[in-house]
Amino acid sequence: MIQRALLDLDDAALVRTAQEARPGDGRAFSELVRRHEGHVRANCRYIVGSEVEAEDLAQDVFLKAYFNIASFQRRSQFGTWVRRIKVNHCLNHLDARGRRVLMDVEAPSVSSSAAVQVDPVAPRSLEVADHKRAVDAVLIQMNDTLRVPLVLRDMDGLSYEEVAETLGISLSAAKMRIKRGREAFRELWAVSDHGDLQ
Amino acid sequence: MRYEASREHPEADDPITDLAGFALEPDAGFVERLERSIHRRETSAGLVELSSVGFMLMTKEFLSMVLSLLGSGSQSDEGDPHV
Repeated sequence: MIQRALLDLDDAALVRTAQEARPGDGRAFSELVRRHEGHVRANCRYIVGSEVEAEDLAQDVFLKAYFNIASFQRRSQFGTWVRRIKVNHCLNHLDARGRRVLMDVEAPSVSSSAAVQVDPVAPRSLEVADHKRAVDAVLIQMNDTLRVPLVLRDMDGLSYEEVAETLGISLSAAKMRIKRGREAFRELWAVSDHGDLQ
Repeated sequence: MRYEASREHPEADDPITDLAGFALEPDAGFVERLERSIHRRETSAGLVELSSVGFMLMTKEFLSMVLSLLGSGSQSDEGDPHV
């Protein structure tokens, strides 16, 4: 009965309920997780480029949110707050692995490297059954250098300035990476099985 | 989802538009695993708290015992007329 009532609440009301819940009563928070886990898991997956690591990272993101929900001031939406936790956590993870995306895509030596080029053979091997899998298959083929800024901008909705600040790069570099990322995504999409259906 | 060509809405052809708010299929086990992790952490935090309280109680008992020993020692000194 209470669980059903929670389904009718919007995120803001669920956050209030979670903050006022008795210790051990995580029902309101669990409902918030149900609403956002698909997006958070997707983001973690495409920021770090690994399905296995993304699962653990997404769990960590919600654990942090749960144990800090009392300090959430509700000045922003729950999704926005979780997004900040997620982006920071995933980028810290990449840092720890020494895989921070700081490659300069405008440098001639890099722009011609295999890291930011689209492999013309790989996409043909894609056998995607549905749209989500098609998007997933295309994104996961992209290099971190282009995929991460693209995900932050076009999947998470960060502004160009926020992407630049988050990644610690200049605004022009952020714009360039996003532009190149979009081109690479469209190119891979066009040659994937899904793109051929158009 | 297919991208039908449209002159009025050229962005409809752009697969990039599908990235906005993109989410993976819901994972029913995700919330359960998270709830178990939360429970484990709360339980271990509770145990740490209990052991801290237990340690403080033991320390308090120990200090009380030491004080009472010291007190009884000085009382016996006072009570002996030959000292």
